[in-house]
Amino acid sequence: MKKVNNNIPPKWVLHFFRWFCHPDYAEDIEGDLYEKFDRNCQEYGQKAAKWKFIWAVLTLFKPSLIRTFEITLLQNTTIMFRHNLKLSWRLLFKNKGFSLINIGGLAMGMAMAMFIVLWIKDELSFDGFHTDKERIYKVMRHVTSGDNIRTSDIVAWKIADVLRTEIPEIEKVARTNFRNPMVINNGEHAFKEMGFYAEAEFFDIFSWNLVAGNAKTMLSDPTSITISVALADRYFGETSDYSTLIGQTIQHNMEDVGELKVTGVFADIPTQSSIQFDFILPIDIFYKRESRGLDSWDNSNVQIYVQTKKGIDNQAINRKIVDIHNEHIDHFRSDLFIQPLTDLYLNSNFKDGKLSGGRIGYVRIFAIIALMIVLIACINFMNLSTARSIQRAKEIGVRKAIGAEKNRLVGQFMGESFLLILIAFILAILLIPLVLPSFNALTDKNLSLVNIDTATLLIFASIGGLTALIAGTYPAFYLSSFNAVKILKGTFQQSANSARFRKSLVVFQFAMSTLLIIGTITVYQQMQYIRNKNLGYERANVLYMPLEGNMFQQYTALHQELLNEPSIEAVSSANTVCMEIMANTHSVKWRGKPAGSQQSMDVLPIDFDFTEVMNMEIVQGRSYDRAYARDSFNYVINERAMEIMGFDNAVGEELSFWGNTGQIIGVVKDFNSASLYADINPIIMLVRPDWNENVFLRTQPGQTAAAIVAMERVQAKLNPDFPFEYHFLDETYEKLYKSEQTISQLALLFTVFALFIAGMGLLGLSIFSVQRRLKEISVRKVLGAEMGNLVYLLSKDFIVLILIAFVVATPIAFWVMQDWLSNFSFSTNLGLGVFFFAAGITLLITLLTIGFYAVKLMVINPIQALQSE
Amino acid sequence: MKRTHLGEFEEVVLLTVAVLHENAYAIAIIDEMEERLNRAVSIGSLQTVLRRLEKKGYLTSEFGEVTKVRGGKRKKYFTVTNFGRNALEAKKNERMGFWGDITGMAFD
Repeated sequence: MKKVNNNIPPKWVLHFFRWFCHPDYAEDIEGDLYEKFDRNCQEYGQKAAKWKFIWAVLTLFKPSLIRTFEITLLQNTTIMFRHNLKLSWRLLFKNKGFSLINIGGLAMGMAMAMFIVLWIKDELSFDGFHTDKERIYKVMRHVTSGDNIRTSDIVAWKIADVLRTEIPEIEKVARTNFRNPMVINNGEHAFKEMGFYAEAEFFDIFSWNLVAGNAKTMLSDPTSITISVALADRYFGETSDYSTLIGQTIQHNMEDVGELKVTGVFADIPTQSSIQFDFILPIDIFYKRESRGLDSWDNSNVQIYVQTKKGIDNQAINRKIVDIHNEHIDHFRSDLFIQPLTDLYLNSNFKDGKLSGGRIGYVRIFAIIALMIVLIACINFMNLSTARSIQRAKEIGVRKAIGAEKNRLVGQFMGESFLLILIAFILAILLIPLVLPSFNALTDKNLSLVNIDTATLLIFASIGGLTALIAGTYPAFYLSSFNAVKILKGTFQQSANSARFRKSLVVFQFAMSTLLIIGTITVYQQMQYIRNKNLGYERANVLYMPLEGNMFQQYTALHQELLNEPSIEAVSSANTVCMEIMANTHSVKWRGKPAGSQQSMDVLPIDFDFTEVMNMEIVQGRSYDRAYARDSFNYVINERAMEIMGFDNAVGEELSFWGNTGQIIGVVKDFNSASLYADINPIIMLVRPDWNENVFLRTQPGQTAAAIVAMERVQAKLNPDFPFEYHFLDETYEKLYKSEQTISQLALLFTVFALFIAGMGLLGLSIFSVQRRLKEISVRKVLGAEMGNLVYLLSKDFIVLILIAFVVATPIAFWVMQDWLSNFSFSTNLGLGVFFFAAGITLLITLLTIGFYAVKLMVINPIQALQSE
Repeated sequence: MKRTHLGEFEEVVLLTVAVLHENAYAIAIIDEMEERLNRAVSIGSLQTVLRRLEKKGYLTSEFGEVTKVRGGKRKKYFTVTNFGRNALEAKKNERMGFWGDITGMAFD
């Protein structure tokens, strides 16, 4: 008598066996395996029996027993193909709602991914149009000051000479200097143009397109100017032959330079160049004008670009040039190195002397986000497809009974998926040109599909292909695995395993959505923080104008006239805008300065009343006062400077630098002189009206419009040759964070989309769940279950899922955002508020799902569902 | 009649099938062989040999009845064909030939 054994052999091994074994042999061998297994269970126990089973199956994996793998060549392939196509097409229209959601979601997802691809491609292609671009570098230096290292691209004049004569690995050298905007006047209009001083090799190293003129000679005459097509059009009017402009003169506003003759015209610089300019002046002009100390090794005032010989390693060059500057100075260190042109745009942030990334970080983030979006859309597709599977069950059962092989069914369902995905892909492609203008506006770029290259097209195609593969395979295999017998008998029940798999997919979707939500909120909060942070000076109601031309000489008159306006409260001037202090010095001496220490301090030349205009807070002593004649030689410093100098009370202390000794008359509260990415530097302020280039004024609150009118009037009166120009200080401040703004808005867009998709995923799952438990629900209803109970019963699964997703995503999000915020020296706190908000949103979605459940459950007619029993 | 080589294992399997008479299915064959020869026989090696012998024509097979045990899978019963029997006998006569010519003093 054989004892009935309830143990079963390991399922996967069995499946493996059934897969490889020749069908003719399979039956009896399987029987043998079972019999042996039962016997072993009794004799050796279940565990040992299982191992023996596995071993037995492995020994059966022999060539003579393995099935022949044949690709069944269908004779009526084309007929089947057309039949399937027709069926898929009809199916599409039969379930219009479902198809719409599916295709729509996919199309949006793919379109977003494609936009990101375009954006990334644009970013990566900056400065890429120069020939031999991998041989072009910019000379930079690490300046050691005190205990921190500052990296700068402004270097000393003579370095170029050393590079030319002593470094044979360097082929070409070109000095440039950024030239403040020059005003040109053609008699009718005045234009403000941006450009550089440069040496002739500038056109040799880079591939700027010359439309007219000779690159080798056009910069040799110090009275010449080379202009862009755009500038030429503005000044001379449009023309078809730019070579006619050679020799013509341009009127400009530089007092000590004579007439400038056009010696060359170049094509407009492409937007994908990080170096932008509309004119080039010979650097000799700069040399003559700014002769104060240009040759001195203590001053740095030009940028130097170089081109190396072929095959030279830039590290070797770095080793050679590192001390070129250091050899000639003695109270600070200035280590030179060359940075590749291709890194200038994306990879040019330095912290403490080391490369710390830059825009490339955003490129990577967006690539990951693109991937995430495609994944979310795919998962959504998978869930929605399988959610409707019960309705296909009868069809599958019949097909299998007639004799369709599993692979054939897989093919059929993949075909259906492909059709949907193809339509979505086409839609996505069509969507792109429609939405491109808005995307360009959002990201401040000029992306166009006109010169799209094959690489991009390939990437687009692979986005589609990847989606098709990921999203189409699982539903196809799942649907074709249905047991035909069970279906036709009516006892078909979807397995719990598949439900579990799909649930984990939804968890994944929600985890990603949560990540995106938290990310977006954090970025948004940081932007708010930036916007609202008290910088230590007033931003609102402050305007500034460039102090140029006649206004410069007539500053006193200007000051008086503006002050007379009731809408203007205070007027002063300064060298630069607070957040762009460019002057600094190492040579400050104060009482008690440690010998040999190099400390860099920023210098801000201002005028009397500046601290009043900016509403800066004086914490010690006083600010400048015209009553004190000596104040023109005195200094006001900020708290940080005081801290570095080591004084508790700085008022009265003597400071000397740049050949002048004076007293500290006051200490101003620290203000952010750069973006919030950077720490506060020590700052010394001094009164030097003739160094100042901008007029600052504060208006009465709400009177800005009147103030602008007044400014324009004064400008027209005193300085009519120049175009009226003014800026709002808070706008200038916000421009610093343009990229972060863009990121913030893009992040919002992606998050909304991801949530939408995840919500639909949840919808699909709940439809599926209701279907699966239709009989159970009906029975419960008949027995009198309350709506509330039913809803709770079915939805508690999902609440758990969403909770899991939340718990998984939160630490990751926290870690990533902390990392991003740590880039800022001043940042908002990653408080619990963010997480609660994210939790709130996920909860909202959950509640919506439950609401949907309730509606669906109410509608179920238990009689209908139980009828088929 | 062409002589086809019969390996040692194949020969033993054929003999076992003959011994088991009408009860020669894989599990029974393995049990019998393990008992007589005192060595382990894996299902894999046996099945390979069985199919090979069947292909060569030494064995025939037929399915038994469906039973509740073995997960409803039928047993395959093997029987030795005449061809197989002849091969076995030829092998046996060969061996006997050798033994007959060995004198007692051949083994030290």
